[in-house]
Amino acid sequence: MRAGSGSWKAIEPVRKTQVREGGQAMWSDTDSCLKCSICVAACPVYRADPEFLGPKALGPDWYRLFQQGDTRPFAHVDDCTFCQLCEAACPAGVPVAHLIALQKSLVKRPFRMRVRDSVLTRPHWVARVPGALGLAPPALGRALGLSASAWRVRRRRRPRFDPLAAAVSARGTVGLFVDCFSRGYDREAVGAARALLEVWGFGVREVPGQSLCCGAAAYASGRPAQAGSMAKQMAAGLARDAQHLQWLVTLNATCDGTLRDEWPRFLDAVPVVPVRAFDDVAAEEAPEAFWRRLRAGAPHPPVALHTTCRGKVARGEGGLSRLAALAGIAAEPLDAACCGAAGSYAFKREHAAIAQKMGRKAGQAMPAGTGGLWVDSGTCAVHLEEMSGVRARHPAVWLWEAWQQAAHGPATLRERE
Amino acid sequence: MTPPVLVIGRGPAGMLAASLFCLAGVAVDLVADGAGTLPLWSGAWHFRSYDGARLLDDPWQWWADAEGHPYAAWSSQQWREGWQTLSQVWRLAGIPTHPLPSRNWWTVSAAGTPDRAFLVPAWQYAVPAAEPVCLVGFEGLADSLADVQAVRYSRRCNLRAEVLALPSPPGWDGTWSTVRWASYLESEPGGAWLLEELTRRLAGVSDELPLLFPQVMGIRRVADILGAITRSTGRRAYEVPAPPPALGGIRIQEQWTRWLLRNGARFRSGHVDGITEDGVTWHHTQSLNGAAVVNATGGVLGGGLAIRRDGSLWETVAARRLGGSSALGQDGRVVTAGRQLPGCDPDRHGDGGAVNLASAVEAVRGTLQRLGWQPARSAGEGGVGIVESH
Amino acid sequence: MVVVVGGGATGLGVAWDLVQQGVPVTVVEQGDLGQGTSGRFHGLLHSGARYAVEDPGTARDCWTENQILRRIAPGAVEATGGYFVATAGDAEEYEERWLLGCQTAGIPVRPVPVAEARQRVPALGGGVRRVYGVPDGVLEGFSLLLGLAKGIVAQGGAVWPRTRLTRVASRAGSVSGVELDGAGGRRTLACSAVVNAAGPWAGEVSTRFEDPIALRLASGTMLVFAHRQVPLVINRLAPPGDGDILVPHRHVSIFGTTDVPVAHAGALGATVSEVQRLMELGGELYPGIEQWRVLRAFAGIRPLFDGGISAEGWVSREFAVIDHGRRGGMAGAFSVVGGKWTTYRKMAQETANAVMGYLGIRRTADTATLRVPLDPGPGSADSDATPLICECERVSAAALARQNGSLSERRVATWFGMGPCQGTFCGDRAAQSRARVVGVEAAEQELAAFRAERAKGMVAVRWGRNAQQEALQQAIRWQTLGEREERP
Repeated sequence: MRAGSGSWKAIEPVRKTQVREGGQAMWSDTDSCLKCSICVAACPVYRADPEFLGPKALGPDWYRLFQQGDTRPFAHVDDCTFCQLCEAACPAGVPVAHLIALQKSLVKRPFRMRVRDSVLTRPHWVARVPGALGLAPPALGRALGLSASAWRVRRRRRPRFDPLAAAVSARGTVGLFVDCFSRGYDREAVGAARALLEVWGFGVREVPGQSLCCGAAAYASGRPAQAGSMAKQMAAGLARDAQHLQWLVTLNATCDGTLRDEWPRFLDAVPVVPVRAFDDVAAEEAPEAFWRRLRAGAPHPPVALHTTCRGKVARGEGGLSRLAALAGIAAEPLDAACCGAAGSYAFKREHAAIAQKMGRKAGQAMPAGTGGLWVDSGTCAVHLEEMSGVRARHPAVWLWEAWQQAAHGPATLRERE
Repeated sequence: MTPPVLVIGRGPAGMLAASLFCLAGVAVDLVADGAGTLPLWSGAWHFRSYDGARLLDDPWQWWADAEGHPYAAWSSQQWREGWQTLSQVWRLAGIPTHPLPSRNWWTVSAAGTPDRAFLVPAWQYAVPAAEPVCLVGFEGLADSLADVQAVRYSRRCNLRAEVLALPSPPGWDGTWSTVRWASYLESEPGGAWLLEELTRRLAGVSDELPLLFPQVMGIRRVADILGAITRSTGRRAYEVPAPPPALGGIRIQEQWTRWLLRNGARFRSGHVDGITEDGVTWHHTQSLNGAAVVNATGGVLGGGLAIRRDGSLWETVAARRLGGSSALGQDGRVVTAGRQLPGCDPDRHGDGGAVNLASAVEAVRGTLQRLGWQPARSAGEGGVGIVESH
Repeated sequence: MVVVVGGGATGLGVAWDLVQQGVPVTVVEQGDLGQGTSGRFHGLLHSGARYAVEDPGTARDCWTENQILRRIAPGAVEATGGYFVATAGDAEEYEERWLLGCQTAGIPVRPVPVAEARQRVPALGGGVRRVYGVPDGVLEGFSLLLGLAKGIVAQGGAVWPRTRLTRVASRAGSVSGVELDGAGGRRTLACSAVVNAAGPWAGEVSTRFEDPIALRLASGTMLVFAHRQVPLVINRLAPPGDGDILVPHRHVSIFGTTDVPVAHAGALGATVSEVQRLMELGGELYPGIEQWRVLRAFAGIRPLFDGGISAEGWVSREFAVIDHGRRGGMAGAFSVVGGKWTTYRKMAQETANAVMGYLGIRRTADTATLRVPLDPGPGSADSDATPLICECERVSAAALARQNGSLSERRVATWFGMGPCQGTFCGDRAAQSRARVVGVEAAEQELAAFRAERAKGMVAVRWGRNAQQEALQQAIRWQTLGEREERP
């Protein structure tokens, strides 16, 4: 299978980022637009929102005017969900979505909206007091411009798992990156992922030790500078809490993409250890015996899979299918680009209609008889469950449940195999 | 675990190569930094449509006499099997086409001029012989002025071309792209508006003429929309391509991607920097293992090719291959597929489809042969000749 | 009647001046307005500082005219200001002479802290040693030309594009008329004076006065980059040379120039070697230039008057008005040669003075205080309800329809087709709407000419993204639009 010559050399990479003197990463290719409009074809908001001008007009076209000194934002630029599918589609490397985020930063917003956004763009604050949201009267939310779905978010508790498993850490200790949403509302996914990692033989530390945010929500809301300082705080937090760990596992595709792709290119931050998404870790690190047991377990109803838009951008699509296949679960990829949740996007009142429209479309794509939906992001799972009525959870939760079912109760791999 | 085959590029050649691997039961990863070029084109594949002076009726004859072309040696049988393979893949993916013709179909370009194509999606106008037509235009769709297209058509074909002018829909504004038009026309109010305007204005058009609409007749629901028009007017209704964003290519891309995903292909996002002994390097430093590499970066738009200021090719994957200055690929481990192969000029010759097809088929065949892999399973209903022949 | 040969800045300027004095004028231009040197410059409204050392007269003239143009054509001037930037490698001794020269010419110069300059112009590299601010600006040349032409016609003059001067008739050694060949066929026109303002073609035109003049022709190549890379004009603080000016022009940046002697005025076209040289020179001041998206290259011919050559080989940018009658040629024949775009008005005024002296007319109006009637700038009226034809430059169907002439002329007036896609997507779109007016066949001919002109500018800069753009353009043209040469 291997080439015989052995003379292959790694080829000099084409640099995506160009480094300005002083070491600060700066944007490149902002002027590279070929006007091919492939980004327009890729944009999910453009199809759902008749007012939205689309990524080409709002990104590179607008930026040309901006460079000429016309700093006025275009109408409805805030309708962009920052899914970044446009940017991923671009054949010329134009940072389309980030140009749009820059434009968002120039929008003048009413005071109440700014108050609301200063909270929504700091989800790590919310994660510290997750109950606070439910305590406030909905009328207050409306006054602040929050959508009804912000009120419907419920906290999910950590599942019970066998503490025996925690003792087995023959493969070293890894970090479980706890994002703001999971920290505040989805302890179920955190607990399941932790239990699985321990079943696979890793010691697990949940990082960062305190509630911090990678900056994703702030960037999406057009606050790149705030995102930058939040990213740096998070990077410092990780440097403190994760430096001796092998790698970090992420549960949320948005945070995963932010840490790995956005930090170095746009936010001048670097995670202290390599970052890997949960489904990659599962496919590459879970022992074959684990999958054998799952496959031998009771038959599972077919599931649908949704790789979130940010997951598609950062890593692609098909990773969840691979997990389902390894587990012996019949699975169908959901025919939807972006569900409309987009972090805090769907929580803003002005976006509720579009988010619902996109979510309904995703919900309608659900094949009949689907027994569950795998989603690699907590907020998207909440939104999709609301839109489709099908139970939506992180794949870690599904795998943990399948494992418990197959094992007929808690047990470690080592004991059984 | 055997690593998957890596196909670099998500354009037509990469998607076809990946599909053939899937059908052969081989794990395949499609690696690309971009969405591929499908949204640029209407979706028709050209066999050979131009001989340097005239549009070609009979592409078989041209290939039989071809010299110096990279695929001149392909026999009629190979071409036949190749085209059948592609149309079967599309059928499996839910992309309907006109039947494969014995000679080139007559089609109409976005400018209204006649064109010849071979494998044509069912929504696009394609007939065995040119005929009088009726071009339908929407006010405000600046790329497709039906009256101008009609003059161009009748001047080139010496045939009657009538015009049916429809107004711009409610809510239209000057920023609408084809995608916006299509979203509107496949919405409920859009569909109703269209049928109402059509019935109101159709009286002036001769009875027997097919209605040729610009390619904005919905994104997912094109068959429903065209079908509804035929039911309510009694006319044949088709689309004529429009410049990008091209709905035909968008529809194909969405259906095809979905089919590949359902068949186990993996789409991986990232820029491939180079080829190593074990696969490729990407994201600047990381490596990605692959049993073999099919390089289908398309040459130019796909991002694989970069031309330096002095005219030399940047050392990217495609450049290494296309520049011909490297030993890379001489042992057959890396094969190239796509229309930008040396010795081809598909823009001028109208054989981009044939080059994509033949190069993808050869890439898959060569890879399977070299790895000594037998197809793990049959290629699905009807069989896919190329894969089964091993 | 006075006939002015040449529809560039000088010719139109002369005609504008003469019609103000009540002199009937006809301008003849062999191509489109501004198709020669006037349409092929970097767009710099000189403060004069560029010539402060080598050419004090031109420096002084530039500064005076710079201030006048800001008053009479504010819509065609963007007062960006400019920097003169010295790098560590540039001689300090020159800097001193330059400062003195600016002072002598009265050009206001302000030292700018290097840190401030680099903050304002991040494109500047690390080797910057000294920066001075000068009152350079950006001149929207075509707006001004079209405004002058409009003004001339409004006051009873005539402007005939695509008309060649074939012969100058004389009676008793004095000009009596001209023979012209143009779109309307051959014709003769009686006149009492002819002004040769033909720029690089002035040598050729002067042969018809029986008194040929010698010009030194030099081709200067310029590069257009897709975005506005700098907020103001950047000059290199070194003796004038190649690649020392970068001008932000609307959405694009123009970098130039080179200086290659050529024999013929028709030798237009940027060469690969000149483009390469410019990129290398540019890299010295702008380290990121290799990553800038280049759009096209073009070349203009500088018609320098050989009379002004200095000992060091520097050909002065000063201009000369030649009264051929006094040199033994035809009486009533005048040539105006040399000079700069920035000083066109002064050149025009002095030429008009000479002509009026010959005709015995007294000056009654001063073009230094007279506003040029300008149309609103291109793209400024793009918020109408018609579809966008050109998405790069945001030109709507209505904005395009408001202009006159062929697609190429409309391009000049609206900037359609001048953005990153270079007409890839808007070319046929515009041709289709044009076909509704002039018919399909004529529109397709105009489209072919437009395509050829755009393609010419892309040939010498086929690298990086522009190579991608060219490949995309070819595929869209040949495949999607079926623009192939079909022979019956």
